[in-house]
Amino acid sequence: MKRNRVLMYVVCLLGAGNLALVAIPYEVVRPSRVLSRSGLLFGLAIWRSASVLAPLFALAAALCLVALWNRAGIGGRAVATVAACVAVAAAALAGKNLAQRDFDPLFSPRYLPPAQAKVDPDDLVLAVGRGSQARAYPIRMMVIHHIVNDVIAGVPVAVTY
Amino acid sequence: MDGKVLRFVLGGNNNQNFLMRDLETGTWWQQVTGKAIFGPLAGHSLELYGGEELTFGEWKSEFPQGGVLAPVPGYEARYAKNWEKRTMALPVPGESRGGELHPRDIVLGVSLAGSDRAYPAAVLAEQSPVEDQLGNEPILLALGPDGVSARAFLRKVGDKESDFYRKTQAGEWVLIDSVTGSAWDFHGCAISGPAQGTCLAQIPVLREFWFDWRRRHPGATLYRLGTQLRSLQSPTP
Repeated sequence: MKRNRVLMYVVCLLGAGNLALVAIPYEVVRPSRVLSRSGLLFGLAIWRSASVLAPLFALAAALCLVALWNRAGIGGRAVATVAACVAVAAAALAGKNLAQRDFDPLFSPRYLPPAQAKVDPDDLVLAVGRGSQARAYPIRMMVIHHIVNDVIAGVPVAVTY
Repeated sequence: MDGKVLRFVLGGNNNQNFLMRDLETGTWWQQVTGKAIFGPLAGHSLELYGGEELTFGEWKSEFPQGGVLAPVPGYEARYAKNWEKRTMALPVPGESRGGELHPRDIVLGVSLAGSDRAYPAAVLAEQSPVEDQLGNEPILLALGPDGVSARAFLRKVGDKESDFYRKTQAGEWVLIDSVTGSAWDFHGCAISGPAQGTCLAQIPVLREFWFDWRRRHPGATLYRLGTQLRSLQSPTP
């Protein structure tokens, strides 16, 4: 009975721990947040450790669940199952790129001659390079992509907005 | 970086400025500074390639041979014209109310010889060119023929400090300098007169929200009409 209780605590802790491993970095790098440098580095350290720790925690939670199953009552099984599921779900998200949902950086951009571009004369563009190597990146496109990885006049450049 | 080409994706956000992560080493970089803050390359800095913000009309007239980023299939519907309005509606992180500008007022930020000064876009719209001293150097800021694109230059013709006046005749955009009387175009190059063929030294201008500029330049001053300057208190962290 006592062993059951310990396993129960452990599986719940693993579920909560994995949730924290995902939630803390996400909270740290979410937009519109004022952050100290140490807070940022702490969040990123958690993010990095999560990709190793979270799968281990998830595995341990699953093993606890198996060990509990035949000895726990229906309530205990339910709680342990939920905790183990949380641990596994969080492990699937851990270490993933946090800001990739809404923005898609470009890696092999294509260009149009100015006459063919459907850009209004009063639209702002990021202007990079000169002469025939001059590039214009309309801001209304850059607010979606934010980063264009490119080579301009032989120099590898990340154009960012 | 050290002979290796890095490719960047978005990593997250820090004080409304994004963090990018490179796919080759997994290092995290702050966009506005180009500095690596976390990961294998922490402490390194990317070299600034340089660029400016112009209207498409101005850019097209200067670089007719250039290339414009082509729309990426599947994204056309999201390239909304009203991006500016939507950005304005985003919350400003940690900003207290008050101050003489709205946090999301557009400023033209100039840094020279250790001094940082923000020039409100609204002031330039009223008076262009603006002449000023920054970091003990005479500078000028001017809006281009489109009334939006902004450039800054050192106000020196040869070795001599000079004033510049906007020629008021309709049709063409030129500045006249007080030292030689030459006419200068928006590239900062003399197109006629004794100085023809020479160009002024251009100074980078960063078009930014006021709150962004102030946060990253705690000692910055704000230019106001009549050259009345006020030192700003550092924003609370």
